[in-house]
Amino acid sequence: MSQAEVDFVIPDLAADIPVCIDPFLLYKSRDETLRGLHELLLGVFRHGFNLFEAGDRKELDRLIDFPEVNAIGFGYTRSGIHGSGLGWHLNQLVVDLLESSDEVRARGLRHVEELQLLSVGVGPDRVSDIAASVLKTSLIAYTQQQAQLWRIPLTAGVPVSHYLDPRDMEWRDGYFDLPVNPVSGRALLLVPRRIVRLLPWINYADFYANEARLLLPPQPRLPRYPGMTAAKRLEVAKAELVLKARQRPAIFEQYVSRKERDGSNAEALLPGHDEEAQLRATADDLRARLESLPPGLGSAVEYQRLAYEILNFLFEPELTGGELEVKTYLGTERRDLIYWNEAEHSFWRYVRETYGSPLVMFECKNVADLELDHINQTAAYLGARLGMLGFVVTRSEAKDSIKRKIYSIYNDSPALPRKVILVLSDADLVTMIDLRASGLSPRSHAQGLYRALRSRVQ
Amino acid sequence: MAPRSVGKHRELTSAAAGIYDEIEKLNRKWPTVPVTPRMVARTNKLLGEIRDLLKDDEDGFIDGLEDIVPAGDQPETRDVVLILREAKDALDRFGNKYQREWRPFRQEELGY
Repeated sequence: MSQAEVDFVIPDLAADIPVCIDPFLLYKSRDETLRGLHELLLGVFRHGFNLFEAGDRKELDRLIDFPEVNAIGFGYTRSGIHGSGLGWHLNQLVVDLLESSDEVRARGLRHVEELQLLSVGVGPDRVSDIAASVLKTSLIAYTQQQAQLWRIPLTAGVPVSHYLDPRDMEWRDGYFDLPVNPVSGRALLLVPRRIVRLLPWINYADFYANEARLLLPPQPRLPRYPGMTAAKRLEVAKAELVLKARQRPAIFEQYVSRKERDGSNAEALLPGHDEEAQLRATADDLRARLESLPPGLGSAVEYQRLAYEILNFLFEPELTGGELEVKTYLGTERRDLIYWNEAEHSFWRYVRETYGSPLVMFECKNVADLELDHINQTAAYLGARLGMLGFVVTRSEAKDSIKRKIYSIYNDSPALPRKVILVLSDADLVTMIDLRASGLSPRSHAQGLYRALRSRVQ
Repeated sequence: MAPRSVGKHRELTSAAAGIYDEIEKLNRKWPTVPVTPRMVARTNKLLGEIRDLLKDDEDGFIDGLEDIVPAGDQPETRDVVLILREAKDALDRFGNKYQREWRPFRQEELGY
């Protein structure tokens, strides 16, 4: 299993990975579940602010409590997997913030990351801790799902402390079936890569480099002494900037609004996930498995699984959160593979905007020759929920009769956008695998197939 | 060849020359810059009309005059220039082929 094939961040069992859960990626997601989690995150602080207003300091201390979630193994500490976390310390920081700024109290928080700009003691690692603590229940469910998918052994009754029960905003401890980190002997939680970045999109260094300069006096802007490092200057400046941001929220507001406007540039990113040697090794493995897998019903499940791994390799993070065997609402039908389309540019964004759905469907047919029924079935799945464009992943290029059927489905669609079915054969998959292994985008090949179809049906 | 084709050919030749000249000017300085959606729309309208005019003709390059489908990425200027050049040349070939047949209609128009 390599990072390029899976939907989660593969943890380093012995040391923290220098990345963070970025709540902004929840905020801007097309997946309503993720947006709901962002609301939950803000809801915790909204509740905390209300408790402050009500003078209930004891409840506030209990609620604003985010110890580091070692189980996810994220952090910026140099070694090991135990950073400081926030714990009770954040209570004091939040109380200090609320006591010192009427403006912030009145405005509330639009993003948890704003705390980095309003409090000296909060950095990107702490934002990640806050998010991980609040999302822990979701991460547990996600870990169990991925463990089943990738056959990662689960241990029964692994203790998990301090997870949020959103029904009553209570922190609880419990036991869950989870993988165990063999190094630490503790629970291991997997995090979807679609919510992970190297630094939060809204962060102090960025604020300092742009809007914050308006808050600082003319030269010299920052205290300095010979040999002072840039990091140290930033640190010293933060105390001054935080104070000014609290007093003049317009500048701070301007920064947050700009980041929201530019949110399309905020993409999930992992360090070194495009390393050439790793990409080539994964590509070779996927290509070999595809070539050796025979068509036929006997290996249909294996083929579907392989298609899932290949599509992850090709299109993550633009198409992300892929799910196998997704049932419809009433359970009457199953779609083989469904991805969330989180693309911000080019072909996949066009698909989402033109075909009216944040989801992309791939039907897998492990047959030597596609039949008309396969195309009819796929066409029947296309509609309001899944959008009007879908893919059939199969073993060989479509025959002329199949192509004609696809054209007629397009032409017979009663309204715009018309139904589009694109066929991805083994040859297409191999071409795209090669593109990805060479560091190029396989998206252009899928785009070429789409263009060819649209030109033919003119 | 009907007189209608004579007029249509003249109209399309003029339109193709205009669009080609404008995009070609851009191409000299910024060949790899994507063209605007409006340029694509005007080019596609022109290509559609040329296809319609030439549909019964036996020109081997007509199948290259398909609509541009940006699909999320606008084409580069140099590619659009190439397509327009092909379209212009197809119109020229068509005009040359029927020049003799069209001469009476043209003379009639000019009052000879």
